[in-house]
Amino acid sequence: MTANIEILNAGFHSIIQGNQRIGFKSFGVPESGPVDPFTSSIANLLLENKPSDPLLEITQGGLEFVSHKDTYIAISGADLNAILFRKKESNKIPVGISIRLRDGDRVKFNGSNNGFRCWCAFCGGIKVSPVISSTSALESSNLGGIFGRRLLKGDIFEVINNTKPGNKILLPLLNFGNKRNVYLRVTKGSQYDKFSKDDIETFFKNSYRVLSNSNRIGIRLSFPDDKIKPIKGFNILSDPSPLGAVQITTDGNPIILLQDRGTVGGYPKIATVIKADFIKVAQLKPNQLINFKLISVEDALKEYYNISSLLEKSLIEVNTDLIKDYISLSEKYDLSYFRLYTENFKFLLKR
Amino acid sequence: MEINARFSFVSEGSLLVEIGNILDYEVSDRVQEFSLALKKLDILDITVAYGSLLIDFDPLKYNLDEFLSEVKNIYNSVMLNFSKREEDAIVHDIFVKFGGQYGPDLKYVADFHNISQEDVIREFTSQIYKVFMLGFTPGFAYMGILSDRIATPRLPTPRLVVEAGSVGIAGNQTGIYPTKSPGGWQIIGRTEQAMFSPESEDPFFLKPSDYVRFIRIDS
Repeated sequence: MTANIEILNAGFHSIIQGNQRIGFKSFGVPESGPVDPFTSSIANLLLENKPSDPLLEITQGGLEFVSHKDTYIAISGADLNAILFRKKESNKIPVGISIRLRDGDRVKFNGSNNGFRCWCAFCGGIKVSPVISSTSALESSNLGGIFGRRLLKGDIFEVINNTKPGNKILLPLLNFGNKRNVYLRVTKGSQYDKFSKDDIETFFKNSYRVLSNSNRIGIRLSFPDDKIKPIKGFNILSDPSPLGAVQITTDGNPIILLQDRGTVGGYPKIATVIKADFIKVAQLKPNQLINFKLISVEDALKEYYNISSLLEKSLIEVNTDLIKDYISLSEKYDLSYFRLYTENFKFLLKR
Repeated sequence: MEINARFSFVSEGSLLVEIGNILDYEVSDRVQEFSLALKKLDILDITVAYGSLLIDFDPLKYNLDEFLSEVKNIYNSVMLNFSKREEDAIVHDIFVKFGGQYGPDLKYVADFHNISQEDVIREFTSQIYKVFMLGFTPGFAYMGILSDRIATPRLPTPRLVVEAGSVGIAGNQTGIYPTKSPGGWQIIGRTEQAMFSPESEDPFFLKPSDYVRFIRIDS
């Protein structure tokens, strides 16, 4: 029994993303898919969906939609202050649990200073036909998702809506809100050796500011400090652009290449952001300051293992009888430390 | 020709193999031959470029050292048995209307070389071009190698809109814009042949290592 979701306000940037487009890079097609596939998969898993079922990637907030049938949703990533409006009631939707939506319920993402992106999954996934073996929208090429573009006011999509999810809950093991100054760990990039020692030193010593024209193609950075002479890029014979590559343009401004980038490019790539740090990359917002830190490929791999196993362990099935005991106990003793959990558990019970 | 490749992990999930840092038919043939042989590995993707390729793999499936030695073994066997097989190449005929509204930069290219527009078209259609790689946007084929008599630098400022099917020149390369997009290449003509059909079973008209023969039709 499918459900219809109608977009009342698309917000800053909201787009359907699903699986990665694997196997077409030699034809110029990038992988597409969620900017942080680790975290987006959590929203799906909370609903018993497949990890890469199509969901909404919501950047900055402002998105508002109404459900025209009963269904379930789950949010992962930054807490963009999603509010559930039901008749005259309104309640904040916690990140990391599944929520039941009734016919006529509205959901609005108000946005937050703490984080930039979240993922909202729907029961069974959003109904999208794959294009070039993926459901993900690739805006720059106008393909995938709905009409190959971001969502607009008035769009309606269908939700598969096939199951009732279990009582899964996300343990808050990961912090999705970025600090003011973010460290991104990188490995050596394709042209690392072609930069001078001075340039490499300058690159790692500097802080960079995230520019507002960043998007899913790349995070554009500038030098916030006018006193520092930026390192300059140079032209190379176009070569492959790995995901997370930090390329230095001829005006000296670095760009971190993301899921919708061109697959080849003619700027030198000094470094590559490690996969585990895409959790932080997805939350970078304009004006935030970042620094790069060089680590070995072996260490990057360890971080990848760590993140993968951490995510596996961060989803737990909860027992509703235990929850009831927990709520009554925590309320009896007014344990503020546990309040977040209590609120989340209450949501689970309300379904 | 001795081929010493450079292998480097540019991330925990991708290995860059650089065979040659030049625009050259044989280097490109070797890159493309190598890419075909790599498909027997359990990998995620390959990005073929002029003189290099990038292998994306699942880091949870491989030990880095073992992966590197598997790739090197394949590389060595490909290079040992490498021979040019031009007779197998697919040559596509692409019909192009040159100049005027279809090729707004044809005059510039002619003036740049102090030859007539007719000379540019004759020179351009006098040889076949190899598809070295696809990139920039899905289905955009980088082809060459253009004769120095018509090779022309990119526009100083890219156009905001280049029509789909536009045939452009950038240095010694030529390419066809598969979709309407911004672009900085010198546009000399346009074809009606679809380069990229996302909904079709075979979305890409041109593939790496194909060849193209441009044929002039009246505009």
